Amino acid sequence: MNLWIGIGLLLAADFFIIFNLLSKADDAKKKHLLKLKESEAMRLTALRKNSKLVEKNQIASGFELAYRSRLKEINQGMVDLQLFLTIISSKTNL
Amino acid sequence: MLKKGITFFCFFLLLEASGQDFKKLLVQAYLSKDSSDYYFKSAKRLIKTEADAGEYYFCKNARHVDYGNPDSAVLYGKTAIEKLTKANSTTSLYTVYNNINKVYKKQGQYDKGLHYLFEGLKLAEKEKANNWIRYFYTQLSLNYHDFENYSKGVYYGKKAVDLFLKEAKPDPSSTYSALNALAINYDDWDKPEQALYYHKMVFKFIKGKDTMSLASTYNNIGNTLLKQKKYKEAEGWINRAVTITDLTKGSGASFNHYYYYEHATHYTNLATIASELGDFQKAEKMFEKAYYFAKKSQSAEKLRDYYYQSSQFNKKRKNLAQTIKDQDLYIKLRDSVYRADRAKTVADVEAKYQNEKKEKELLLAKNKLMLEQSQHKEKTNWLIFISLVTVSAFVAGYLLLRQQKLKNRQQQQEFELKNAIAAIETQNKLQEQRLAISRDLHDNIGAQLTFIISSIDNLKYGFTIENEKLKAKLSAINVFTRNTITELRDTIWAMNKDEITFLDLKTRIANFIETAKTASQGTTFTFEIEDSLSDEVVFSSLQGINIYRVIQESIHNSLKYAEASEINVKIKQEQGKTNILISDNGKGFNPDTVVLGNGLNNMNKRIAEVGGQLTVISQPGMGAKIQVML
Repeated sequence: MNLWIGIGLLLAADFFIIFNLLSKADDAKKKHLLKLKESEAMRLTALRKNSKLVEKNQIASGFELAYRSRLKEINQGMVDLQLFLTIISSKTNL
Repeated sequence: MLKKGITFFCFFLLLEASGQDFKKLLVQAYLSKDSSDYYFKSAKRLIKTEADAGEYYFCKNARHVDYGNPDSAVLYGKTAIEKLTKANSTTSLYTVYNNINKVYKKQGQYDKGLHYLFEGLKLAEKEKANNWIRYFYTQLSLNYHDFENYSKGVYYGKKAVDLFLKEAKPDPSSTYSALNALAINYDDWDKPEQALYYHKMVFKFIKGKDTMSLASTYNNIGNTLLKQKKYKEAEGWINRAVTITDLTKGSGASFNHYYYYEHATHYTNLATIASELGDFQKAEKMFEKAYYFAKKSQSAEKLRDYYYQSSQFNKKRKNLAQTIKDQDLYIKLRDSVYRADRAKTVADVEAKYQNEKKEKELLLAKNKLMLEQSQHKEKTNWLIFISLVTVSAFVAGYLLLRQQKLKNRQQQQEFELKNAIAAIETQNKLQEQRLAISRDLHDNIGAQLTFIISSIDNLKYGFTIENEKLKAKLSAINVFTRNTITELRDTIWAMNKDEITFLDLKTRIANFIETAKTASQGTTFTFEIEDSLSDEVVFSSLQGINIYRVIQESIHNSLKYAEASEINVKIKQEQGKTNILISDNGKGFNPDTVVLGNGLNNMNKRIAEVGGQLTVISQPGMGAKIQVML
């Protein structure tokens, strides 16, 4: 009789432990999924921000590339202008 | 032995009773010669419990047994049994059972005596009181002997002897009683060899001075030899018994009884020997003594034996009258001892005892079986219990392991994701830094370009420049610088917006066309947008600036190279995509043969960069169409 009571108590304890373990595992899974979702959202936000920054840098690069080629011509013009001013100043004694 | 037991018990009571009046009074009542009644009365007043009452009646029973009052002894004995049973006082109970047997045995009522002996034996077996079991076996052997049922006497005698001989150090006095009982049964069963064997075995246990207590053994050996017609030898043993009995004669009622009883046997045997040897005078004297002691002993058995031998003696002397008289008395006593109905009762008592014993054995066997079954069941239960514990441990262990693995995997995933986020954020920071540097640079460039333009304007207005080449150069620098500033503004516009709506783009394109209109008076510009296109359509800043630049470049090309008089810009929605068409009515060109300049290549690159498609449709003299699908 006492043995059966013992078996009963043991089974109850087992069920409790197993239920507890399963429940903990379930909670941990839920928490993990929530964390993953949050992290994924953060990653996507960061990625979006990144793509925008990349685009802007591309725009800036495009301009800078065009500007560099134009700057050569401007420079040439400026050299010519410098020459002209030198000639003018020598003529007018300025 | 019993006498010693009772005396010891009384002595024990005396010790126990120090300070206890009741027990003290009982001892005094038992031992006192003249004032027994007084002490018993005093003790009776002090009875408080059933146990006290039991002890009181037990002492009364013992007293009456010793003083030869059979009726009172039986009456008090029965009352004592009732009380002692209730009080569960087993030691006194054994003695009472034996006392009552003693009384009935003396009266030749062996059936009744046997009943009490069996009751005592049952109790002793139940309590596992081995000394008492052996004692009751001995008494049963003696009772059956006196009842002339020698086979039974031998049976119980052997049981008693076997039990004693199993002991490492058997009690000599008790062993002697058992051996004596067994031997006399063999003797009267006409088995003298066995009788002598067991009689003489007594001397292995009792030696030296102690042999003084063996009067009955000496007599019994003599008796056996008598039956073997070894008269002289027999006479010697019996005479020794007589001497010992006379020497060891004690005092008190119980000692007297023993003395008379033993002498009755001795003198009957001596008379028989004298008769057999033909010494009638001696025989007559011996018979007289035998009669005296037999009467005094109040033993039916002894009187019976006396009358039998006396009748034989008178028959030999041809004294027929006395022979008949003795014969009659002998038959009368023998019948009183051995009546058929009594024999039946004895058999019934025996059968009852044996039945009860068998039932008890059966019950024990049943209990043993049940115990074994219960043990087996318990073992099975334990096995189930242990199996359950093991399975539970495995399940719990598996679950814990699984949980740990899951936790590790989750941590790994979280770690990887955090790393990815950290990498992206690091990249973002780098991009932001780069952007910040670009902004600084643009501000700087803007200021420098403005300075250049104002410097050139100052030069133009401050000096009269006649050198046409230089003038053209200055104008080119001016135009270049202004275009660069415009481009810089467009770039800053695009960079400052996270996304560009179609409305923004539309406004900017319209502004550009207006500016172009002002600059090119002879050219007609049209700008059409399909109604289905929503202003809310959103482009990324790169898409927005690239579309704007392509339109800008196309119009610029139409004005600069195609000399077009009409330029159309049309934007519509087609198959879920934005379709931008820039067309002119200029000179046109063959796209297969004409080497594409930087402008067209750049346009292609820009549209490809935002995932769109650019198509150039033109023929010489047929104008040109540039289509962008995005």
